[in-house]
Amino acid sequence: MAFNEILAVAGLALIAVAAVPQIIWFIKREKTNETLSQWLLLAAGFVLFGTIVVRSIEIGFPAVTNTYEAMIFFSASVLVVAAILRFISKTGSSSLRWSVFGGTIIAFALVMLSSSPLVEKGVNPPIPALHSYWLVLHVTMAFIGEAFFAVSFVAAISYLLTKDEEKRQAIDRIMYTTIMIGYPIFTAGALAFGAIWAEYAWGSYWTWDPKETWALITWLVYTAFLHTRLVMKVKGKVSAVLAITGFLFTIFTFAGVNYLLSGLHSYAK
Amino acid sequence: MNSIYKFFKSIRLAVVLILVIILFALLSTLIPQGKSLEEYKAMYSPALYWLVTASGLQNYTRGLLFWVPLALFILNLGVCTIDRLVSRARRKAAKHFGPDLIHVGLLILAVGAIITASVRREQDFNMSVGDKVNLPGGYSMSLTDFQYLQYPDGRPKAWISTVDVDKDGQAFRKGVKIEVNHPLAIGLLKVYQTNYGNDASMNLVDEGGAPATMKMGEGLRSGDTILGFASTHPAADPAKGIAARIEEWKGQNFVAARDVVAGDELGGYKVISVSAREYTGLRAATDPGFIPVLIALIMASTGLVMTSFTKSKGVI
Repeated sequence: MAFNEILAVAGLALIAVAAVPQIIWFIKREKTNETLSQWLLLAAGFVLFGTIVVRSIEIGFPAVTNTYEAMIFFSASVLVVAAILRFISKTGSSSLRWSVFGGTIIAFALVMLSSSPLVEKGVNPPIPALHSYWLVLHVTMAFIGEAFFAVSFVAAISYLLTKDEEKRQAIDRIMYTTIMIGYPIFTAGALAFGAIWAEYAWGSYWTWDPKETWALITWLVYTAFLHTRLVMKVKGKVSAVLAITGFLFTIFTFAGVNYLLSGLHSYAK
Repeated sequence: MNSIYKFFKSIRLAVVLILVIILFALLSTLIPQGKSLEEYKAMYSPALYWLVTASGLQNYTRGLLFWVPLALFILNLGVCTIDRLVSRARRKAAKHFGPDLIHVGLLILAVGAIITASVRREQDFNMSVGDKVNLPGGYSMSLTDFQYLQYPDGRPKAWISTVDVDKDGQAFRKGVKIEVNHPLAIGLLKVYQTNYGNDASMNLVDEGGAPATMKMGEGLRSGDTILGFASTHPAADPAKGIAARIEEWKGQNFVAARDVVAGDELGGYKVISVSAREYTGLRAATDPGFIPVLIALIMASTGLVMTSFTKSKGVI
């Protein structure tokens, strides 16, 4: 087994281990502020980033140019975002813990999916169109933004499942904050850097390629979330539904478009 | 007048337009774009065919379902932006101008996109070494070298076109390399590396002496075998020039591959000559709209970071 694969397996194991203290905390409903899991999540994230670093050294270019690498990077980003939220949270509330736990599950699922035989895992240097640092910025920042959206997605689901109004308000704040942080990062990565890369690679910054269109649709959903919230002061269920829709569209833009709709991004399989 | 102004500065209108744009953009990705009416007729039931073609969703970015919501949205954005700037100026509010940067940025983006849609020009051409093409602005460009580099596993590593550029008949730039992601830039004019190909062909004669031509990618039938012209490469014997790689197929099954050169027999024909003409595919484009778009992207991203920083501070 290659070293980068060992790191990916170690990352997966660490995610599973990080889930244990979280589950115990939920079962016992302890009042203690369990902190072990946030360190484990952070460690898992860095180990997965290590996978990317090792592959990058092997190919001499940042390894974020195929689906396997994208899934590992996405998973690592979700873990680091979840861990950071735990670190900066002053309350360590159960609402935040549910969101972080959901992030842990999503990160685990991404690494598991990346191990599928259908996902090409070869350590290959990029083809000419992908050999661009604008592409690296485009991909990495889009995924970091989407990592925040992943946590907001879990928060939105727990909002709809919770009846306690106090908890709902706490969850609503998590949902809002994660989107508020993720939105500019996603905008810069998915749209701005994507457009600049496309201009350098193909001479056209926007072509209404299905992937571009779906990235724009996703961005518009989160734009609607922020406008309904900040200007129209709409919170609660509407925000939760938009946050869930936004993340489902994010996942479709990442995975569904590559396989179901053809276009310039078809090599991203 | 006042009611029209109020209508267009409404945030509800903005949200409704965003949802409308989302809906039509989403539908447009599910319908193959730009096909002929016959193709849609074959693809869909009569009712769906009527719905798609009557709505214009098959040519989304050229239809009313694209332009009307977008034009209304830009108008709405413009009125909201002006209203916000005027009210902030009246209050002499200096802080929190992130949203203004975003909105002004998006308006500049719209201007850039309109410029692109109106005046962007592009021209695709294939060139072999020694070829010369005329470019806009009195420039001409000749290809002096072309390299196709591959990784050991055969995947493409780089296509590198080396060109000399003249301006009004005088040497302007010499030995400029054009690669994917590294276009040649002369002011607003950019030349991009887009593709690569090989116009290879074989001249043949049959047993009766009748001439025939076979191009790369074509095949001829010999009994139950298809002989396909797959590629070219220098012949093992340099005196024989170029060899054609022939693949033999029986139905879907690959049987064997062999090389043929001038003088060889091929499925009842005699090969007279094999020629290959490698070419590089280039695209010359001028787009004055990209500069405002770039400025807009920087402004909007900066505004978003500022707004995000202000609005998310201390929330969790």
